[in-house]
Amino acid sequence: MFEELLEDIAQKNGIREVNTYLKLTAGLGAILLCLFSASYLPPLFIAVVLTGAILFLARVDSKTYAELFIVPLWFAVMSVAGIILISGGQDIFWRWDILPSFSLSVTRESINQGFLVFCRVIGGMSAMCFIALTTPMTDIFIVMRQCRIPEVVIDLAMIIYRTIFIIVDQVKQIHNAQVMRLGYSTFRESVRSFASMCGAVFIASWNAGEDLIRAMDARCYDGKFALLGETRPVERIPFVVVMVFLSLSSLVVILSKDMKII
Amino acid sequence: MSSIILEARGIRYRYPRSMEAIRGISFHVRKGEKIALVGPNGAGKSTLLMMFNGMIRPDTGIILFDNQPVRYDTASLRTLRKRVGFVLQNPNRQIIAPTVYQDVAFGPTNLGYPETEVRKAVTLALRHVGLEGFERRPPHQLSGGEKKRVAIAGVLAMDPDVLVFDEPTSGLDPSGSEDIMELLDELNHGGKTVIISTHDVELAYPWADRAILLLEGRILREDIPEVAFGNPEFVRMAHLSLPLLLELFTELQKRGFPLTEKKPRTVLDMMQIIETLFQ
Repeated sequence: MFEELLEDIAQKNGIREVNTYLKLTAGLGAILLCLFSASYLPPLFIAVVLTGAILFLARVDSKTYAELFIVPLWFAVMSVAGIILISGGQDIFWRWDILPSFSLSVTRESINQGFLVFCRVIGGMSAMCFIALTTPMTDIFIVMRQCRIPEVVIDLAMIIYRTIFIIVDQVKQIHNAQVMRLGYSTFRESVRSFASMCGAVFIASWNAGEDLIRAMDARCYDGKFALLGETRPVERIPFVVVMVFLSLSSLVVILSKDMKII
Repeated sequence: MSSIILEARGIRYRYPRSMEAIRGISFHVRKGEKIALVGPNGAGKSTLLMMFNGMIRPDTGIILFDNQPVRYDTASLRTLRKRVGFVLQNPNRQIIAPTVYQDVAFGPTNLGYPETEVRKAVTLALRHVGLEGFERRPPHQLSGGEKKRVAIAGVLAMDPDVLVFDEPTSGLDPSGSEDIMELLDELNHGGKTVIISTHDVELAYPWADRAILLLEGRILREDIPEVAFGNPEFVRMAHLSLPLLLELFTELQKRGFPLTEKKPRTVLDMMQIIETLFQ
């Protein structure tokens, strides 16, 4: 399953020990710069740098990374196609009047706009992947607490995080049991099997909730979740690297302000 | 003989809309003892264990801890649960937090220890179960045996007097089971009273100071393991099997070999018996 895969990679990645704030600054800063940028170049620059960081610093397997990237890319391609066809402009290359008041057209402006959105998606995606693949949830919890997010929210998030893996495991087991007994052999059968799996998992998660309360009670639960470990110190080299990356990206944003693809 | 720490007097319990799980049980546990509750599935072992830390309240009868009847208000239960640590059969059910450190620290934090002390308790507990350096790992990446140990560490961190284990070796490979049983011995040497439930006779026989055979919510037999498992009829009645060493011993006896009175608990005991036989 994907979420397990992501967490596992994050737990073992090459720059796990780098301070969480630094990694989040790099990732979130990159996303913001992608949004601010008026031209297609900065997002591409960010995507290249962060992809390099993911592949060579965090040592994530390139095949996994590619798989991770391809699914949202399809969505991006489809939305960009929509943008190009629907948004209008002066310089018309192609035009089709389907209805009296509605027409599809490809213009210079719409191509520029579409390509910019596409590049932003790529840049933003690589930044998201960078965070997801280098920063495990457990480290993000620490940051959440230090950022004074309400305890209830964090506790809930931690319990959900812990429970996801248990429930995913159950889903896998039930699914396997169904497949072994040909539960997905016909369409009718798969609908039925899927429904019964959902029911079973719902009950299982209900039980898990009750067990959780019991387990917490047995250990004197008093409304407190253990404090988390401290974050790693900010080291000089990673700090400099992140700063250089962000300033370079900002520079690219400023310099490429008026650049258009056509 | 040391003083009694846990005692059950005439307890009965019925699950809602179900048959009676415990049908009148009385027994006691002394400080520093190793007790094995042995019985087939559905004998009421787990139910009985859950009463020791107040998770289940008996319908009739009382449980005494340290010669005081267990009270079921929140404050008393907290004190009881601090002193009686319970390790569930399935560690997945017991591990709550997203990292090993947080999970082991759960009990001490809720007992209101200051942070330095929590840290100390966690370090100590993790060292005890041999999981140093696992602090930041998420539990779902651990193996079954490691998870079990995290669960045990989480209970040890609260420094209880009595440790209750429901099927401590279920789902573990043989060497993992052996490690856990050694750990239980170690804890016992450290002065803790240890109570386990199991249906594995071979496991309970050499380990326990006293074995309690349960069947259908009643105590069938309660004695030192040689005696408790010594009667083939009782053992069969409880849907269990004779421990191999004991079976061998009785078979040798039946065939007229002049054996010592002392029944063997371990392979070493058996070797001695055979050696004296051939001298």
